[in-house]
Amino acid sequence: MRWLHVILPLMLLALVACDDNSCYDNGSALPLVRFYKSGTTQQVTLDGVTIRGVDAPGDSVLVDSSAVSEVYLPLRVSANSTQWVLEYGGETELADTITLQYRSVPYFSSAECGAMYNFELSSVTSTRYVIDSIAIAKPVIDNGTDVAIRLFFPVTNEY
Amino acid sequence: MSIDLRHILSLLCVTLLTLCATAQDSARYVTPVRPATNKTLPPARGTDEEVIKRFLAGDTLALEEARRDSARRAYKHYPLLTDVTVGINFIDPVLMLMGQDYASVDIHATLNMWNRLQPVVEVGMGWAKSTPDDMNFTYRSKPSPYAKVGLNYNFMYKSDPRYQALLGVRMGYSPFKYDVTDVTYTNDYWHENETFSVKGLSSHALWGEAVAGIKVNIWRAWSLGWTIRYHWLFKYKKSENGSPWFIPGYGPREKSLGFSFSLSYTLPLGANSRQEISTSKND
Repeated sequence: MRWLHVILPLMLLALVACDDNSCYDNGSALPLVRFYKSGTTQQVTLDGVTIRGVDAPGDSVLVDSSAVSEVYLPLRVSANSTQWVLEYGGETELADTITLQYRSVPYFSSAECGAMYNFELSSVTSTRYVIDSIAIAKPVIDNGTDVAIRLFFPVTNEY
Repeated sequence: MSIDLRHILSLLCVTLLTLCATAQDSARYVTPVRPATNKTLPPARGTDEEVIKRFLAGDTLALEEARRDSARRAYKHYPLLTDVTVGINFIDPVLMLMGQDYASVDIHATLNMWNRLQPVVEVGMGWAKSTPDDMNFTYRSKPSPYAKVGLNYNFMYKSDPRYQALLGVRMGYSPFKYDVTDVTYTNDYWHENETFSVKGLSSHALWGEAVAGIKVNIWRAWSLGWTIRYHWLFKYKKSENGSPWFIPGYGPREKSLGFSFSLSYTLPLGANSRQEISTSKND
C-alpha cells in the first residue's frame, strides 16, 4: 500500500489545473436591436445608416453611414429613458427616433464578467417615418447576447 | 462308517480356528477407525515456516491448517463497527496563503462499517473576499455555515483500514449572505462614471458531490486524506441584483471541481477491530 504515498503528491499537482477565468457574455448590459422585414422574422440589412444618441456628449455617433442589420444601443444609467436617432441618409434625409424607458438595476453577473447595471424595459416607442413597428423581445436586458428589441421595416431590400 | 479319534481331533481344530477368526472380526467392528471429518480444526500454530516443517515431518493436519490460515489472511472480515474517524479539512486556508480568495474549512466524522461502507457528516464554515485586479468590484462573503452528508465505499475493504481508496457521494447545503461593493461603472458613449454597492444579499444553495479519494496512515492513529470532488448545483437562490460567486462548502459557483486535504484521527471500535489492526501490523 506504499503506492498510496506516491499518489498523494501527484493529486496535489492536480490543484493547478481546471481554472477558467473567461467571460463568455458581454461586460455590460446592452440591448441588442435587430432589424426585420415587416410581419416576418426575416432579418434585413440597412445601408448607409447613421445612429446617434439624443443629447449625447459631443454629438458623438455610434454608427456612421454603415450597413447595419443589428446594433447594441448603450443606455444611460443617470436617467430613466434614452433616445436614439436612426438617420437613413439619401436625398430624403429621413430619420426615426426610438425611445426606451426602463429602470436601472445594479447587478453582479459573475467574477469573470463583473458588476454592471441591468435594465428592465417598461416601454419602447418610435416615430414611423420609415420604421413600421417596434417590439420588446426581452424585457430584462442583461449582459447576454439575446435580441432585446425588434425593429420592423416595410421593405424587402436595404435603404 | 466308523468315527475314530483322528476325526474327533480334526473337528475340534476346525471349530477352534473358526472361533478365533470370528473373535478377531468382532473386535474390528467394535472399535472402528473413524475418518477425521466434521472436526473443528484449531488455527495454525506458529509461523508459516513452522507449519510447513510440521507437515514435512509427517503432521497431516498441518497442510489443512495452513490452507485455512491462508484463506483467512486473504480476506479479512471486519466487524460492523470497524472504527470512527474524525478529521479537519484545511486545504483552503493553506491555499489562501498562496493567494486564493476564498476558503471552506470543515470538520468531518466517518463511521467505518465492515471497512467497506462509511457514512460521512461534514460541518464547516466558508468565507470569501475577492478584489480581482482587472475587474470593477469587491466581493465579500462573511463566514457562513454549511453541512454535507454522504456515503463512502472503500475499495480496499479486504486490506488494512488504515489505508483506503474511496468513492463516495455527498449532499450539501449552505445558507449565506454576500456583498458586492466598490463597483465602478463606466459608459464611454454617454460619458457616465458611477459607483455603487449592493450589500446584504441573501442566498442559499443545495448541491451534490461525487467524491474520489485516498486515506493514508502517517503515524499511529493519524492519517492524511485527499479527495477530488466533482460537484453540481441542484438549486441556488438568485436575486434581482445578481447571483452569488462563492458558495460556502462548494467554492466558486462556476467551478465544478473541488479538492479537500484533511488530517484525521481514527478510533477503533470493538475488540475485533483492534485485533485485526494488530494482526496487520505483524504482517
